[in-house]
Amino acid sequence: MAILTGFRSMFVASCLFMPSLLLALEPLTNDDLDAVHGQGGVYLTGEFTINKDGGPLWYAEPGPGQFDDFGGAKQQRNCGSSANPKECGLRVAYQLNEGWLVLDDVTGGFAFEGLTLRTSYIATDEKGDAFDKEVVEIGLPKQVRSNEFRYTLATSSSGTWVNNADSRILSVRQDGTINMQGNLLLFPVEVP
Amino acid sequence: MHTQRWISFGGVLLVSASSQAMMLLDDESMASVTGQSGLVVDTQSLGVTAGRVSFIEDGQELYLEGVAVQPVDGQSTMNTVSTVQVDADGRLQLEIAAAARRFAINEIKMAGSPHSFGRVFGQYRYDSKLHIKGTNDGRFDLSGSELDLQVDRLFWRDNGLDWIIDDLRTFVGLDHAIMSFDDNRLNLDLGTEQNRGLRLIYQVGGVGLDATHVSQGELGMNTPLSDSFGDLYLNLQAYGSVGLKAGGASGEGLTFLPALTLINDDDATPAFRYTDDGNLLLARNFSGTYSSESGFTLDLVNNEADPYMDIRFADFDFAFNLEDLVLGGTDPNANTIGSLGGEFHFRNDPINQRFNYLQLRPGGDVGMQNKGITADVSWNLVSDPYDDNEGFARPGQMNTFVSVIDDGNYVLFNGFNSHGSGRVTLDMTSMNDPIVGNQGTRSVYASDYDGHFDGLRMGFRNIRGSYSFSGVTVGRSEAEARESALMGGTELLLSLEVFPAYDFVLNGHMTIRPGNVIGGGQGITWNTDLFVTEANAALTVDENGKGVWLTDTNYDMHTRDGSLNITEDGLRLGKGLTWSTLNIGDIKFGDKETGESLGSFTLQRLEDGSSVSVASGGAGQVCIGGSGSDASSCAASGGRFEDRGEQGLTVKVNAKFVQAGSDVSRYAGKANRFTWTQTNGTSVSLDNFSTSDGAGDPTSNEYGMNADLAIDVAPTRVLDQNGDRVKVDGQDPLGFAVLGRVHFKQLNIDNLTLTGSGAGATPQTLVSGLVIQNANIVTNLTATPIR
Repeated sequence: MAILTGFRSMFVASCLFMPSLLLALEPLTNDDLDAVHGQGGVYLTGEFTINKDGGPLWYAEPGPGQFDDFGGAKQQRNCGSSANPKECGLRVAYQLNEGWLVLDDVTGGFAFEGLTLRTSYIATDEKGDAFDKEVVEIGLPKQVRSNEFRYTLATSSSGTWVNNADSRILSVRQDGTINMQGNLLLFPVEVP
Repeated sequence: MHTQRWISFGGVLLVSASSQAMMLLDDESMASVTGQSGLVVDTQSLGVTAGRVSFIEDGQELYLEGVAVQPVDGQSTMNTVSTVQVDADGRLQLEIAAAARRFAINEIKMAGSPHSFGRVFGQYRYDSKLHIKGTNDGRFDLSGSELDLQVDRLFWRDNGLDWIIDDLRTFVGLDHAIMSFDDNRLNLDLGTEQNRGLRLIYQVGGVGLDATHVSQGELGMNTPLSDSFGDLYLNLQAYGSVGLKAGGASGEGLTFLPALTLINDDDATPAFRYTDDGNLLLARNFSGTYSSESGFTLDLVNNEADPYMDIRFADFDFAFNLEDLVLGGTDPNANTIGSLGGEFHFRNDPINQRFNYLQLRPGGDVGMQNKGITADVSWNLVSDPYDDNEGFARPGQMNTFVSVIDDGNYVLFNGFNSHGSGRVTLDMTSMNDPIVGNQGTRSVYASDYDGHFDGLRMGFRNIRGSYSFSGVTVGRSEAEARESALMGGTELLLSLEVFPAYDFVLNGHMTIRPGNVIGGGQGITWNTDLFVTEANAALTVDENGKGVWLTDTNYDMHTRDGSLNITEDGLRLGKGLTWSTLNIGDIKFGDKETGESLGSFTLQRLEDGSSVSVASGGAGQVCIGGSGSDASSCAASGGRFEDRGEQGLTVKVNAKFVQAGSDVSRYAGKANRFTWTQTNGTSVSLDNFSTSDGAGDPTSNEYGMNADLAIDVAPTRVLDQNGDRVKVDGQDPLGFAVLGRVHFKQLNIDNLTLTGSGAGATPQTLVSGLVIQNANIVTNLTATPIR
C-alpha cells in the first residue's frame, strides 16, 4: 500500500528522491516573485521525527514500553549504556556481496514554523529565458531546529539484528539550529 | 364492519373475506345515538387474496401478482379491531388495531418485461389512527393521526434465495398536519420549528440471509437469524411542507415536492443509532433540510420491451448538521468525534448532458436468472467555481461541502463537484446452492474468478464518474471557514485511497452478507472484484486543477472475506485477503491533459489481514520539537506544547504485505512490487517487498506496516520567511493539523533493479536485499492558508 499520509508536502518529500526531478535552490528576487502566480498554498508548521519515542521492535529496559501498539512483546535492545539506557532508532540494512552495510539507531527530529508549500507558474528562469512551467514551490523556513538527530554507520553479517555483532564505523549526533533561505522548486525535466 | 379494501386496477379477486351484517338505523334509533362512545368493530378475517393488482400510467403497467394477506401460522383468522367516533369538535377518529398477519406478493413485474423484481413476503401488525376534521376554509386537519407498523420479518426472495429483514418498525405521527388542495396539487402543511408536525421512528432489528434452497422455508417467521447486520434506530421530527402533484416528468405520473426540515434536538434520544454487538455508531442533535423546487417525478416508461420506473429530479438541496457523533464502544456519551455538517446541491445540467435520475427495471444482472433489480443511475452534484474577489481563492456561493467541527473549530472540505452515470444491479447469489449456485470455472482466489459468492451482489456496469474538491478551509465559525482561503488537505484521504480528484469507469461487483467473518457476531462481510479503467487520479491538486496526476490509469482490486464492524474502539474495515494491480500510464505534473510526464508506474500489492480503522479523538496534547508530556517539561526540552483538544479523528491503516513465493495456494500468482518507467524507457523496479515481525519466526506478520493519522483543527504558531510571527485578527492562525505516524517492525525488500531503455537491456540489480527495522516515523504538521 502506498503510504501517503496527507498534505502535499508528504508527496513532495517523496519526490525529492526521484532522480528526474531537477532541484534548484535559489533565492528569488522581487522580479522573480512578481512572475510567480501563487495559487493559495499553505504554511506548514510542525516537525518530522524518527523514533522520537522508541520503535515497535525493540525496547531499552523493562517497563510499559516493552509492549508494542497491539500488546505484543518487543525484544530488548539497549542503544545506550546500562547506566543510561536509551531506546533504539530505526535501522536500515543494505546487503553487499558479503555481509550488510547498516545505518543503525537513526533517531531525532527536525522542527520548523512556516515552511510554505504551493504550486506556481514561472514564466522565465533566472537568465530571463522562457521557462513556462508549473512548479511545486517549497518556501524554506528561516530556521529548522534539529533535535538530537543521530545515527550510526556499521557493518553486519546479517540483515536482521544480531546482538553485539555490529562493527561500528562511526556515529553522528546533530543538535541546534539550521538556517535556511529561499525556495525549493520541483518540476519534471526531459530525460535524454 | 370489515374495513379491508384493496385499491385495484386490474382483475382482482377477493376471497374468504369475513361477512358481517349491517342493519339500517331508523330515525328513532338515530335520535337516541349521542355519539360519544363511538362504534367498535371487531373482525375475524379469513384472509384476502388478489390475483393481480395494477398501476397503469401512460399505458405502462406495473403490477403485483399473487397478492395475499392471511392469518399467521397456527391460526385460522386474523383479528382487526376498528373504532370510529366523532369528537365534540367534529373531528372524525378512525382507529384500527390489526393483529399479526402474513402477507405475500409473489411477483412484482412490469408489463412488457420478462423479468421480475422478485417475491416479497412476511408477517406484520399495525396500529393506526386517522383523525380528520374539516376547517372553515376547505382544508382538512389530520393532526393526531398515527401509523405504527411493525413487520416481524420481511423476506425478499430473488432467484430462490432470501434476504431477510427482522423487527422492522415504522412509526409516523402527525402532531400538526393540514391538508389542502391547490389546482392539481395536494399540500401537507407540517408546521414550523416551534410547532413540529411529524414524528418518525424507524427501527430494524437485524438483517440476515438464507442463501440456499436446501434450507428454504425452514427459517419461518420466528427462528432467530444466525448471522446478522447490527440493529438500526432512527428518531426524528419534521416540519415544513410536502406537496404531491399530478403528472410526472411527462404525461401521467406523480411529482413529490419536499420542503422539509428533519430534526432531533432531544439530548436523551439519539437521532441515529447503529449497534453492532453492543458497540455504537450514534448521532445526537441532528437537523437537516431537504428541498426541491421542481420536485421528484415518478413515471412508468414504456421503452419497447424494456419498461422501467423513472424517478427524476432537476434540483435537490439538502443540508445537515449533527452536534455529536459517537463512534465505537457501548457508552453513548463517550468516544465522540465532534460535530459534522454539510451541504449537497444536485442540479441538472442539460448543456453538458448531466442529469439526476434513478431508473428501476425488473430483473438483475445478465446471467442472473429472471429476478432481481437493475438501476440505471445518473447524478450531478455541483458547486460554484471558487471566488477570488478578495484576492485569494475562497469557496463559491453554492458550495457542496462536508464540515467537521473539532473542539469548536471548523474544517470544511469545499467545492465538491461530481457527475456520472451507469448501471447498478442487485441480485441474491450463492456459491454452493444446488439450484442457482455458481462455483465458477476458476479459483476463487484468481483475479478472473467467474463464480458467485453468498449474499447480495451489487453489480457495477460502466459507471463513468468524476469528482473533485476545490480544497480545505478552516475557521473558528462556519461563516469564517466559508470566507477563508482554500488550501490543500484533501490529500490526507489518500491513505484511504480516496483521491482529491478522480475520473473513472467502474465495473465489477461487491457481494455483501450479514455477520462478522472474524470471530462471529454481528457485522457485514464482503467480497469484491472491482475494475477501474480510464482513470485520472490526482495525488495533489489545487483549485485550478494543477497538481500531480496519475493519468491513463487502470486499477483492479480483489477482496476475499473483507469485513465492516463497529468495535469497542471505533469503526473497523477488515480487508481480508486483498490483492490489486495499479497501472498508471502516465504520471503528469501540472495539468492532467497537458502536464509534463514523469513516466509510467505499476504497483502490485498482496495483503492478508490488513485493516483500516477510524476512531474518535485526535492528537490531544503534543510537544513539537522536543519531548515532554506537559507544557513545562516540553518547553524545558526546547519544544513547543500544543493542546489540540479531546475531539478529533484518528484513522489507522494497517497493511500486512505478504512475502511472495510462499507455498500458500491463495497467494499464488500475486506479489508486492512496483516499477517506475521513465519517459526514456529506463525503469526502476522494487521487487517483493513484505512486512514481518522481526526476529523470531520469519513468517510471523501480525504487526504489519501502520500509518496512523490523528486529525484536528487547531491554532498554531507560524513564522513567515522573514522570521516574523503570522497573526490573523491578532491570534495565531487556525490550521488543519495532521499527526501522521508510520511504524513497522520490519520491512523486507528482495531486489531493487534498474533496466536500461534498449531493446535488449537486462535488469541490473542495484540492491539484492534491504531490511528496515524498528521504524517509528512521525510527521506532525499543521497547515494554515497563505493569503
